[in-house]
Amino acid sequence: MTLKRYHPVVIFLYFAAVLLVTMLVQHPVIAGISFFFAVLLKWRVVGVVKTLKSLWHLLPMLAIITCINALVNDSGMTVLFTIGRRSFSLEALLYGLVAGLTLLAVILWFSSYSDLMENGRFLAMLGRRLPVISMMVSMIFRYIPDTLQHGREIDMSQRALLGSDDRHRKTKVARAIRLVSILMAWSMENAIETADSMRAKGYQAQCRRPYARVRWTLRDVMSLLLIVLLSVLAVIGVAMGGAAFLFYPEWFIPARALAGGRLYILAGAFVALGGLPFLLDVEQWLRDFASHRRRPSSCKISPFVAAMLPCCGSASQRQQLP
Amino acid sequence: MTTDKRSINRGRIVEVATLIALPVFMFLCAYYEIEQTALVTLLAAIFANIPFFINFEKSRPKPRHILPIVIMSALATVGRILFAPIPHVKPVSSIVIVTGIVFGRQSGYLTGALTALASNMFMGQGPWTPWQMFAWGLIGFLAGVMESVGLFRHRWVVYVYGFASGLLFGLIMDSWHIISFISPLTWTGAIAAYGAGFFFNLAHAIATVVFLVPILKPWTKKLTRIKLKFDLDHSVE
Repeated sequence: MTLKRYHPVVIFLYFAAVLLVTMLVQHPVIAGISFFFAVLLKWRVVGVVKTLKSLWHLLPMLAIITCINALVNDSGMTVLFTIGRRSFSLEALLYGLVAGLTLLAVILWFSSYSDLMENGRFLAMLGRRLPVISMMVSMIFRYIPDTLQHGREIDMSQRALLGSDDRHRKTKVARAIRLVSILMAWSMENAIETADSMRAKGYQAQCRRPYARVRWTLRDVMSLLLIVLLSVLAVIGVAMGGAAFLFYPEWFIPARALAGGRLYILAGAFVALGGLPFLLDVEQWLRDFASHRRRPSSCKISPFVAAMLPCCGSASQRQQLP
Repeated sequence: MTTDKRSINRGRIVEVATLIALPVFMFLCAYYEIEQTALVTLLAAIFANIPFFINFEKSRPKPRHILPIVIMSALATVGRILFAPIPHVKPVSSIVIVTGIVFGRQSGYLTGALTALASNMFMGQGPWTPWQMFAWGLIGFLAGVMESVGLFRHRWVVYVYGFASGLLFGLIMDSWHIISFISPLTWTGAIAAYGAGFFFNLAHAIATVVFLVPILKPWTKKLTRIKLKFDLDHSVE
């Protein structure tokens, strides 16, 4: 995934733009496009197995949302079937489906986002505005494995001290409570030491900077401009009424949505936005291809030698080096 | 010194105003059936968290004020991860309440909010993250307020508060879901959705009390001792 190597602000804005359009409108076409590209991106980022796994969890949710809406809503005109005096309409079903697809798409976009954006890079972006908060979040992450390790140590020493007899549930619970209590006190005392050491190392001197090598390149700027352009186009399409869609009483697309091809402009811009990560992949692939063509000599060197030379190898290989 | 105090007071006013403004805003969203509620409510929740973070940044906290919050958040996060297999049973609320009681409302809010943010990196981030941050932050904040007012003299009051906080958390999360994703919003639809979530919220409330009973007394005692021993009292409180 090439998008991963872009500047964190670009990644953040890309997902913000997609989520903005997805959540801004309730339209079957937009919801469908968003869901399609969300699944595609998830597949590209984590592979087919994990994508299917998350869909396995999410699709029942879609079914529930659709059914609940069809059951509690009786505004539609096109009656599908009647039970007793209650009629169930196509419109209510359609609305539930669109709402569910939107929610699923949002969840999938968010999960791809957290796969693509490493914590450190996000914190580096946040660090300019909220330095203390972002430092605290990264400290929490650092303390989680630490806490688990301390918990194990306490457990072992408690067993050594008191014997490992936990046949009775009561002693088991009492032991767990004591363990957690010791863990808390220990972590706190350690934290005081950390705090003092931070102070001694000049924490409050105003020259801390986050450790993350992020630098703006021409490609970042170009892709950022593309994202802004496409999302502005989509938002204008929405503002002009391109996303108008009436669910009730009978679903139809108002004339103002189709006038001047507004819906098509909106949908086209959104498709381009959704497909952007793949376009960037293709662009990277073309660059690699071109660089091979330009310097064919680099391909003739034996791969063992090439691996040792910093100038050789494709652009993507070079960027993957730490 | 006076300007400092004034800015602190202003910060407090902004915090309380935010706490009141968010529910009012949500109610107005629901009442006037504003379109695009999913987006509006997400932004509203993000903005509701910001005053608390900014106030904390502005108070220029010393490492000794930061670390207790970090440790309590880490413990709550570990607790949430360990109890992840059992849905809606999580020790986060009770740890946040104890933090609010001992270290005050600001630390309570931050512990709740940061626990939600950090633990969702494991449990899954989503549009619910800012809402969970707000809900758990509010639970810690209110615990701090009630302690400073003197309502928590008797520990039964704390247990009742723990139970109520579980329901409050559920109320906030369910309202967010209903206002954002059910349309057209009707009373029957809303009641059906609240009803569907009620037993999960009840489980959360009971679990909070169950976690609170064994830890409340020893933890407040230990934490207060540590607080006194190392002079961790926060200047803002």
